[in-house]
Amino acid sequence: MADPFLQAIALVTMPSTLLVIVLSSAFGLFVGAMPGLTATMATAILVPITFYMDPVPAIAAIIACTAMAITAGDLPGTLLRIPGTPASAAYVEDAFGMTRRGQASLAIGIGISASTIGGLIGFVTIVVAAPQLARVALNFSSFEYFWLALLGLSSAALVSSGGIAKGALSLLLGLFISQVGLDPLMAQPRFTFGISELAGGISFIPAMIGMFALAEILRNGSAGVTVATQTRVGNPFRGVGAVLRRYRKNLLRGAGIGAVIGALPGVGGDVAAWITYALAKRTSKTPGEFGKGHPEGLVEASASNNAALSSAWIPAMVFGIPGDAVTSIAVGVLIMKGMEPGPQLLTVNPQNFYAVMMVFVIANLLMLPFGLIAARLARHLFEVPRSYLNVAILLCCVVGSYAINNSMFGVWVMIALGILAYLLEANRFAVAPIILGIVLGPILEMNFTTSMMIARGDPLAFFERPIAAVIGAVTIAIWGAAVASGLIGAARRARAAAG
Amino acid sequence: MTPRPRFRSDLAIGLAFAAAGLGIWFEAGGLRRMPGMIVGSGLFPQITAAGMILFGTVLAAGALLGLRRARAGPARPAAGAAAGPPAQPGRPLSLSAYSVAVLAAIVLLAAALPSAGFLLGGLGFAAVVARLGGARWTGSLLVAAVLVGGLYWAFVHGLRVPLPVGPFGV
Repeated sequence: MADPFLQAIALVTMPSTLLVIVLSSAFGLFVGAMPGLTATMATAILVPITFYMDPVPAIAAIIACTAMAITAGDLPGTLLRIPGTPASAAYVEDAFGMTRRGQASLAIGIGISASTIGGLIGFVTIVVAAPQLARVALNFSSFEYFWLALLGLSSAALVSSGGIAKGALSLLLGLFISQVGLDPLMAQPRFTFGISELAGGISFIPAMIGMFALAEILRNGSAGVTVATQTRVGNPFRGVGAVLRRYRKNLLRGAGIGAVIGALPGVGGDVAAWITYALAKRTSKTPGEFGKGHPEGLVEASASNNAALSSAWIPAMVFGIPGDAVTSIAVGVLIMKGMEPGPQLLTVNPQNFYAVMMVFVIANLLMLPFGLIAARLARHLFEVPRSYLNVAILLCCVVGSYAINNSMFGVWVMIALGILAYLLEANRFAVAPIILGIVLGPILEMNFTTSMMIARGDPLAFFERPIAAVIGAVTIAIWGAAVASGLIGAARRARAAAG
Repeated sequence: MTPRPRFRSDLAIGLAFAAAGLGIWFEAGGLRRMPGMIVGSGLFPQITAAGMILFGTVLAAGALLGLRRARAGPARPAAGAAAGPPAQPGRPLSLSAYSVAVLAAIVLLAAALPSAGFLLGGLGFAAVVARLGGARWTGSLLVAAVLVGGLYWAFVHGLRVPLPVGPFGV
């Protein structure tokens, strides 16, 4: 075993491999920080370039780019309240709230550090428990996936401000938007009203851009996207150690939950981020501070997001079952380079497998210096006059919305949903659950429909399998607790009003 | 937002969601099902619609209760909305003149892009919005040129993502 391990070290420490990792990370940082560009897009753009590379640098490019892009998605959320990924939307209010308080550096530092630690814990999970977790993942059927998606969506609805009814309505609106287009079961057009562009559905990217970026500019007017005036962005790591020590339980719990959830194909960091954010709020001693610039949820959700990213490679590498679009592309690159995913990866040319594992470590550690660079560059963002900053953001919004499908339809979706989000937020509706509903709606519906077909319409079948029963019971319990708490609160207020 | 306007808007929104839910329910009811099964294209939308009707009604009912209590006695503390936390101020609804103008500009840009192209349309949009924000015309035009040119180069030549083409083929 020592020999392939040493070979792996030699492969990874080659100057060409290290250069590829650094350049891919920089590319991922740029793409992730731009609203409208996704990690999947960045990975897809890299694939043709990997044709000309050896196997290890090729995979290193994909891993490094994705890890950095996902982490960089927190930056626009922190600085401008424009989350770069649906997972970032889970904690955007707290991250941006910290910026409003003049703590932008600390928010960036917490996001990067927690992401790095989460990613490293996810890596350890791969090394230690990959085969076992993969076996558990293979036991997940449509019933389990349905409940897990519903749990993630419920977490988003119940942690949002404004109350349970408004949180649920935001979520349901997102689910409805996800249903526009051809249905996954029978390819029947739904809610398209004869408009051909709607047949392709509504992409979450222009929705997210419109609901966060455009709505924010409409709300703040010429004051721009931040309420605070010039905000200094200094060393992002100053004070981070104390915060991470204080919330170390959240950090470890978030990374652990993210590592487990990420190992389930198709679930991803979005669900992990929302579940852990909700859990952080639920177990916090200061839940009322969430959503206003409190770091606790930011720590837990950031760690889970990147832990899920790392462990999403488990089903991809152990069984060749990609967990998401990025790992689908990565599996394709692995096959192209002669590294067939599966158990034989560890027996045939194991040095390649170990080299890929080392790339995980390097890519996660690189987040720290790149995060410092990003924070330094971000400092200049606040020195730009608001009038110009708004223009830049709006242009990025239009281009990002157009680029998804090379269609003006995306731009119109961005405008329409931006106006809708503005109106909803003015009436204390949270917007983030809408985005998560759009993203997870297809997964929820597909697994629900599949489960109903398997069960021949018997809803009790959703509780027959043990894991499904447990997740289902937890989901129902948290709704029950939330409704009961709301009713008790309303009854108390009614008694107080009656005198 | 003071309690009464908040309750009124909650009532309107709750009723709007309930009405939307009803519309979705009936629209989804007309979709095909799998032969011999309740599963079909409309099942999940109908479940979503049922949720909208339920929670929309809950929101509207809570708002009605709140309105009644607010009318009953101005000295009493306002009752909360249905199943919600104590009143929190919403964000201001009124749009500034700047925001209205920006919205109009972005709608015009979206309408003009297919024919004007990104370079021309984007340049005009960026210059106007910068000017609306208080910048001078010379600065607005310069910044617009740099931003639009930079984005065009980054997307079209860097990322190979095509952008709308104008009358001169660019």
